[in-house]
Amino acid sequence: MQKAWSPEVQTVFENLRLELRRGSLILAVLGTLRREQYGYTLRKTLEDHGMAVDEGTLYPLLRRLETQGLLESEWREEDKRKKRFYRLSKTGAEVFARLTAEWHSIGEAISHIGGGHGSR
Amino acid sequence: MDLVERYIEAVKFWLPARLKEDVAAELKDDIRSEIEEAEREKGRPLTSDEVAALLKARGNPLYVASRYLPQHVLIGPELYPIYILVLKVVAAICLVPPIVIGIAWSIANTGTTPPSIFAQPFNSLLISFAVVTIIFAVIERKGINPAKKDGWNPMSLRPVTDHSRIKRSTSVGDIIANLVLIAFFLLGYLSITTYGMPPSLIIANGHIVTTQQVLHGHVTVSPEWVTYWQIIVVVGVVEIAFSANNLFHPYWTMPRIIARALIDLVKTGVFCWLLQSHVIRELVIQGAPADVAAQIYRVSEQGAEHARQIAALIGFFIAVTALTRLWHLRPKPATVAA
Repeated sequence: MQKAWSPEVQTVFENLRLELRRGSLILAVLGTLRREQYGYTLRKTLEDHGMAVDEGTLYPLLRRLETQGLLESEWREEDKRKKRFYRLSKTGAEVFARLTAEWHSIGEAISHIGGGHGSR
Repeated sequence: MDLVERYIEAVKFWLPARLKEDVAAELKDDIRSEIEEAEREKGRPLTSDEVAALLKARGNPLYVASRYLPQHVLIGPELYPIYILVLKVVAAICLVPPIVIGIAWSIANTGTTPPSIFAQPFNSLLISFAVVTIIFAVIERKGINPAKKDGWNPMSLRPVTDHSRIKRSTSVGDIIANLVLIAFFLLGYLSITTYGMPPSLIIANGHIVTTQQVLHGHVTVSPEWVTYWQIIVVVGVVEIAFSANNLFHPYWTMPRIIARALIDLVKTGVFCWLLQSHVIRELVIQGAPADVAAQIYRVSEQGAEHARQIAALIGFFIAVTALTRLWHLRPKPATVAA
């Protein structure tokens, strides 16, 4: 059973956890958008994979990633409604590949340091 | 769905113009998708309370809008939309009244310039901006956040204002006003140039007095008075047709905006012409202080002197109103067609 923390420590932990998730979320979004999706289905896909994100975070993030040239978007009609479909751009795919490699190397480094589940 | 529209409108209010339509369209689709999924799960349409709960979970419109805005060091993103709104209000308060007064002063005192009246607004604007910025920076530091995700009620959102819609009350009001005008005209009240004071009710020096106190009074107006009302009645008939049409098609279109502006400009032009004719030619108010008639007469003479400026000012407001209406008609991005 985990030790109960004081509210201050709990707050520090939550902030750090959020920071960690914020970085990971970009990776998750880029990875998910290798297949074209619109905002709501993307949110559901992320949620189904344990990366629940509220729309107030997701949509501004999508907008930012598009501005940075990592995503492309297109308004199209589906089910008699216009929806904005996002997909990874060519640059986005390259950036995603490198970020994933970076992610794995960080994971390995943490494991070696002894902070991960796979610590020896 | 009305609640959703109101929510979207409230979010749009806090967004910069370049983001408004795009963000609104995407947000609307996201909310609709969420509602549809919830309805599929429940097997029935959501009640308005359930929709309200769903919107509440999304957060205060200000909070939602703030997430789309860039990060600011001094004023955080959640306070930033309010900060900008307050700056706009402060700018309007600091600049508009002194400038309007300054222009009016210049018109009334041709040839002289008000030395400080134009310089002061900009000084007070700078000071006000600095004070507002400091207050917001302190609020930011103290962590007071009016855009908290909880603690707001979606049911209290303002109804959506459709700027392109012509209010029914406006059209009905126009028709009634013009019918009353035509009735007065047909009864002959607007075809004479000398009006006697009613025998039992005379207004003198701002007070209602009776014939026991006041003997007689009459006012003689310029001959242009009769022509003025003849033209206004003709314009009034056109306006009745225009307003009646608006009742059945209550939306501004470009031809209607132009027609409205033309009607108003014609009325303004004719009014200017009437003022220039030195409307009040003779004014007799027996029993009232001597300077009352003189004061009224002086106002009439000033009207004649500044008729063009008055018409220009009214014309300016008519043009601004028409341009604002045209601006609301501008084509929205394709995304809004959703």
